[in-house]
Amino acid sequence: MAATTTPAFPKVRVAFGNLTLAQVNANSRAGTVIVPGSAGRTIKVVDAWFRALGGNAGGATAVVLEDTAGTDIVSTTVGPLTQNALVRAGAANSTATGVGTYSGKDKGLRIGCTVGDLTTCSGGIDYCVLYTISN
Amino acid sequence: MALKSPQLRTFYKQLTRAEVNAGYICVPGAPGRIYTVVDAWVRAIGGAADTTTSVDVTNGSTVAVAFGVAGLVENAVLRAGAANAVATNLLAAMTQGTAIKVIKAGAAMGTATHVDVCIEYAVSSAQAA
Repeated sequence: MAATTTPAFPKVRVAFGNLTLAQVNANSRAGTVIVPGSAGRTIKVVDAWFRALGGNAGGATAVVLEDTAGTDIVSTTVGPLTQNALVRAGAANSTATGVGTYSGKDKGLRIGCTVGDLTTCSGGIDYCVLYTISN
Repeated sequence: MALKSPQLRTFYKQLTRAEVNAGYICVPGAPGRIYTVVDAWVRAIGGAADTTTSVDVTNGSTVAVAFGVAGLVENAVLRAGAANAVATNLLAAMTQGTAIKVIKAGAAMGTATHVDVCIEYAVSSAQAA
């Protein structure tokens, strides 16, 4: 297997937007793809944040950013996801295990939830994910 | 499938108190371009900021982040979304063609001689929007 080639000065890309509750809960809580995989490329997330809109997040155990193979990158428990509060990866109750680690080749990024469906935050979840791409 | 996420752009500069009080254009507006601020931080230098209400990252109508003076303590990095840093309009696309600027809200800012400003933003075109 060829090693991942890291560019000397990688560009940082940003995926941002809002996911509805239905999108977070979709696909048996695997959620919705926010960055599609690209053949031959690997993604490394370098930072992320979430924000619940329309109410405090509830129902689920955590909102999770993971690669499209299901490997966790950031897992933020619903406790700190109070309405309009910006919760950064690595803050209290936000485990950033996969930040700074290359995801598998060809994999994209998705946002879902764990254990139960996400409820209560009627405006869904704002997300902002910073990442680099390598060949 | 191509990756469609835009490149992240960064503005960083140490602004003087006079620049903050007068309003400083960090990213000039351009026809057809739409800016979206996705993150920001500031840091007061030379003393804590006082007398003003907040230091805002704005395009003149949409305030992406309002950094309240209570959080502008000397040498302390104040991030968007932290206590005293209201970030309601992070991720909100600004009006096409408008600039991103930093300006005080309320009375003129005092005591701090400078403010470090870091703004992370994305650019999109009107056609793509």
